[in-house]
Amino acid sequence: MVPMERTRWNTGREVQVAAGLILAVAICSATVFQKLSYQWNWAVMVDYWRVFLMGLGLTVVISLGALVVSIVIGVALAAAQLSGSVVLRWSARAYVELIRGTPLLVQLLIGYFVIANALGLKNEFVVGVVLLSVFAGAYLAEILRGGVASVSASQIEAARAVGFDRIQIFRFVTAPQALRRVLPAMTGEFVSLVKNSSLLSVIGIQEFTYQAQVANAATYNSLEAFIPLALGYLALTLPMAGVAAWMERKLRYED
Amino acid sequence: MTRSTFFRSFLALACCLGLVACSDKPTSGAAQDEPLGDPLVIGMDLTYPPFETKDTKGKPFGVSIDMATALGEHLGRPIEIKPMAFNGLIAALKTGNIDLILSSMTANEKRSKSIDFSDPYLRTGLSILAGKDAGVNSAADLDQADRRIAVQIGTTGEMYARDQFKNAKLVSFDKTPACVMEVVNKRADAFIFDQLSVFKFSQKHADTTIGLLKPFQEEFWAFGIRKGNDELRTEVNDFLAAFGAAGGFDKLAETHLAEEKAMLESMGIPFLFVTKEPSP
Amino acid sequence: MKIEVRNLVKAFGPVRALDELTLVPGRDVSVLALIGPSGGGKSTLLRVLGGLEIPDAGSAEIDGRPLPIEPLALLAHRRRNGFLFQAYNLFPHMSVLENVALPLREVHRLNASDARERAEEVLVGFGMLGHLTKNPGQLSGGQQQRVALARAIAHQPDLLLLDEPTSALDPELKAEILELVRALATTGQRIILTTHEMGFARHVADHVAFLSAGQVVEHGPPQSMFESPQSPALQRFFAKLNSFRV
Repeated sequence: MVPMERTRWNTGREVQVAAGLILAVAICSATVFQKLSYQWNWAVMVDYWRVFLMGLGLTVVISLGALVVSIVIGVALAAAQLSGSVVLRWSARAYVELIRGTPLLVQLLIGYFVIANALGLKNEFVVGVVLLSVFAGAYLAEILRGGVASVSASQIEAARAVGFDRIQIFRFVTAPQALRRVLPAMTGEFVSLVKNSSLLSVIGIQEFTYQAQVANAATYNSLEAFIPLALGYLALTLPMAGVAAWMERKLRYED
Repeated sequence: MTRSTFFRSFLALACCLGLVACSDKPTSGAAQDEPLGDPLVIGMDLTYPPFETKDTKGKPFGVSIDMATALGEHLGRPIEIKPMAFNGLIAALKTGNIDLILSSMTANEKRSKSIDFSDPYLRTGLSILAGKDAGVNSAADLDQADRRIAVQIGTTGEMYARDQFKNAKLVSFDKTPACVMEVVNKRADAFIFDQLSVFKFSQKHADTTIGLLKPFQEEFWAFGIRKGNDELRTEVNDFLAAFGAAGGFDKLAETHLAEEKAMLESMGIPFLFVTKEPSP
Repeated sequence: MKIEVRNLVKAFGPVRALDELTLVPGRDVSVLALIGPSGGGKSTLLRVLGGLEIPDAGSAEIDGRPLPIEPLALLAHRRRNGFLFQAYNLFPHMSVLENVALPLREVHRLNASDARERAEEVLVGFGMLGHLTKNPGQLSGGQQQRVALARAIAHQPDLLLLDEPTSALDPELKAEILELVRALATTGQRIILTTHEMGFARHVADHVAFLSAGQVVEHGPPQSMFESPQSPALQRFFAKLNSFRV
C-alpha cells in the first residue's frame, strides 16, 4: 500500500525513451526541412542575438505580470460565482462568457484602441498586461470554480462535523484538495498565456515574436528566426511544466 | 540542482531578461542637446529594411528613422519612434496613440478616406516576385484562372491584386516572409510587392525566384497624418521641401540605398525620392 | 442524557425522511441505538441531533436544551459533539496525526504541542502507533475507521454520534470497532448510533428505537425490544433478519 518513491532522474529506461523521442523528432524535422528548396542563412541571425534577447525579456516580464494579475482576477471571479449575492454571481458569469467567447485579438484591439484610449491610458505595457490578465483570468475562473466544486460533499460534511466554520472549511479542506486538482489545467492556462502574449505586437509591444519578425525582415530571411523563437518559448514554458509537475508530486495523495 | 536553487536561478534569469528588455527604449531625437517640447510620436513597422528595420544592437535603423530624426531637428521637437505591426498603424494614428505614420506607406484613395497624407517623398511601384519556372513574364500573365498569387494583408499589392487579377486565385498572408516562402516553395506563382523588396528577395532566392522589376503600378509614399491635423501636415510638407533642397535625400540614398539606386538606374527608371509632386 | 424529540419533520424534496417523528424515552439514556430498515430515517435523525441538518418542523431537546437553528449556535453545538461517518470521511490530503490534531488546534484552541500530544495519545490508544505519518489512503478500512473514531472523540465530546460505524467493514474488523465503542461507553461517553448490528445494539445500548418510514414505531430498553417486540413492523423486521442466521 505504500507508493513507490521515484527519484527524479532515473537512468536506464527513461533516458532511453527520452533519447529515442528526441532522435525521432530530429529525423522528422530534418526530412521535412530537406524538402524545402530554401537557402538557409543562419550566420546573419546570430548577429541579431540582442534583438531576440530584448524580445524574450519583454515576453518574460509581461507573462509574469499577467500571470500574477490573472490569478487575482481568476480567484475573484470564482469567488464571485460561488457567493450568495445574485448580482456578483451574474456579473461574474457574464464576464466569463464574454471574455471566453471572443478572440483575444479582438479584445486587445478594442481594449487598447477604444477603452484604454477613452480612459486616457497610454502606457501600452500596462494595458497589455491588464488585457492579457483579463483574458486568462476568465479561463482561470472556470478552472478554479470547477476545482472547488469537485471537492466531494462528504468532505465538506466531515469538515462541518468536525466543527470547522466556513472559512476553516475552505482553508483546510476545500482549498488544498481543489488545488491539487486544478494544477494541470492551470499550468496549461499559463503556458497559453505565454504564447498568447505574442499577439501584443498589435498594440505596439515589441515582444519576442515581433522581435523575431524584425530580425527575419532585417536579414531578408523567411524562416531562420522561427527556430530560435520556438526554442525561446520552450525555454519559458518547459520550466513552468516542470514546476507544476513538482507541485503535483508534492501534493499527491491517494484517495 | 536542488529545487530551491533552480527556482532562484530561474527568477534571477527572468529579472536579467526583464532588465535587458527595458533597455530597448523608444528612440528620441538629437543625442546631445534634446530639443524641448512635446515629443512627436511616430509609428513605424520595423520589419521593412532598408527603410524601417533594426540594427544588430536592436536600435531602430533605416531611411525612415533618419528622416524622422531630421524632421525632429527641423521642428525643434524631440521625436519618439513607436514600433508596431503595420496593420495597427492607422488605428493608432486615428486614436491619437501616434502623431505620424512614417512606415513606407503608400498614399492611395482608400487610405485617404481614413487619414490624410503629406506630400509624397518617394516614388516606387508594384512589381512581381515570380517563381523561376512559373512562366510569368508580366502582370498580364497573372490574370488567369490557373494562377495562384500571394499577397500581404493590408498592402497596396493586395488591393491591386483584388481589383485587377480577378481570374486568379489569391492567397493573403499576414507577414512578408510567408508570401516569399509560398513562391519559393512553388505553391504560388508570384508575390505582388514593392519593387525594392522584390529586388532584394530575388537576389536572396536566386535559384528559385526571379524579380520582374518594371513597376506596373506607380505608387507614392507619404507621411500619414490624422484627419484635420492640418498644422502638422503643413509642417511636414515644409520639412520635405527643405530636406530635399538641402540634399537630404541624396545622402539617404548613398547611405542606405546604393544597390537599389544602381539597379534602378541600369533599368532606366528614375530614382526614388521625389520633390514636390501633387498629392493624390 | 435526557432526550425529547417531538413531531420532528425533515423533507428532502418530496420525500419526508422524518415524518412527525416523536421519541421520548422518559428516562436518562447513556447509549441510544437507532435501528430499522434503510431509508427509515435513522441517519437523518442522527444528523439532526448532531447539528448537521436543520429540521423543517418539530422540536428536539437534549438535556433540556433545545437544538439550535441559528448558525452560530449550531456551529457551537457541532463543536461540542463528535461525529463518525459510515464512510469515515477522513481528510485525504493530510497525515493521520494531522487529521486528529488539526481540529484540536483550530476548533478547540489547543496549542500545537498539546494538540499533537492528545492526538497521539488517542491514536496510540486505538492501536495506530507506527501509522501516524501515513496518509489515510495508505490505510486499510479498519484502520481508517479507527482514525475517524479518534478524530471524533479526541476533544472529549459531550455526545458521540456514530452513523453505521461498522457497515463498511469486513466481519473480523467489525468486532474490533465494536469493542472500542463499547469501551468508550463504559467510560461514560454518551453515544447515539445507528446500526444494522443487532448484537451490538443489544449489548451496548441501554435504549433502542426502531424507525421506519420516518417515524419511531417502537422504542424501549434493549432487553424488551429484542425479546418481545410489540409492533408487527418490528416483529417482521426481526423475522427478516433471523431468516439468514447462521
